[in-house]
Amino acid sequence: MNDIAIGWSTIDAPCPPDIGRTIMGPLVILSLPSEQARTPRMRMQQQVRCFEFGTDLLPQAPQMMTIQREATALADAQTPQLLEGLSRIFNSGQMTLSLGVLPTIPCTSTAPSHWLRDRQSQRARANATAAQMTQAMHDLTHGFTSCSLSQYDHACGSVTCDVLISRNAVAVTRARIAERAADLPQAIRSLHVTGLWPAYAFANLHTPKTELVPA
Amino acid sequence: MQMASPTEAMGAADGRLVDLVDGLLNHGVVLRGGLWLSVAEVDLVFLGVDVVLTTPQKMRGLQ
Repeated sequence: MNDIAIGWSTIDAPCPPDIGRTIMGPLVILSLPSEQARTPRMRMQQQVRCFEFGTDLLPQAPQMMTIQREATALADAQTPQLLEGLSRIFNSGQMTLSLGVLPTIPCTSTAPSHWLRDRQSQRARANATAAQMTQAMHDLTHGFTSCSLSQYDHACGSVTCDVLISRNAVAVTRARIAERAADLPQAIRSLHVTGLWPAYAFANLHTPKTELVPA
Repeated sequence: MQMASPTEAMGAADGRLVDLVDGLLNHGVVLRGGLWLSVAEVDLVFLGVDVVLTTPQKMRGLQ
């Protein structure tokens, strides 16, 4: 019972034969022996393998190490939420887009008056870059129905967007993004498109509410 | 524009792809301690914390 859960699926979904399956009503918990899932990257590799096999998978966050018993408790407590999450990502995965510029150069002035002025202008430039990057990402992903856009990361000079798409729309989506990429502002130095991933960014569960009854 | 499959991205040395994969590691389902407090269907307070449920032995093994 020291198996590590890597996600949830439905009872009728295909699954690699070496992945453990624990059936709980309409849900299946997918798991692996702990030695095959020791690190976040190992867990992610197994989730990707399941996804590429054709499993519709609501992935456990790879950073979290969840033993089978905890996953069972969650499935018990949140069956409707897990099923709702699985229906949201049915036959779909996420494509992850990342736009990058050169990171903001920190100001080096030491004189107090110059330092403040330099910081102000640096902040103004950074805000302008963030707005430009966010707008560029909106233009790039315009028309996609399910998008999860990250905040602009000033330190890395990047903004990331996860797009939920059908498994059979990968080529069309790549072509559409490549076409739109031609119109990106010149300040943008890079565009990385990766996927198709399990739908990590679309696997949120909603916490059930607890109603207090007034005395 | 650079395209990469998940396998290529996970094995890449390119800093941007490494950052991108690291970002994904934090997504997905997390076990979340949370409680909505509401009265007469009016939400008043939400208490929430992300938790790691594991044994001390396993935590020591991860460190």
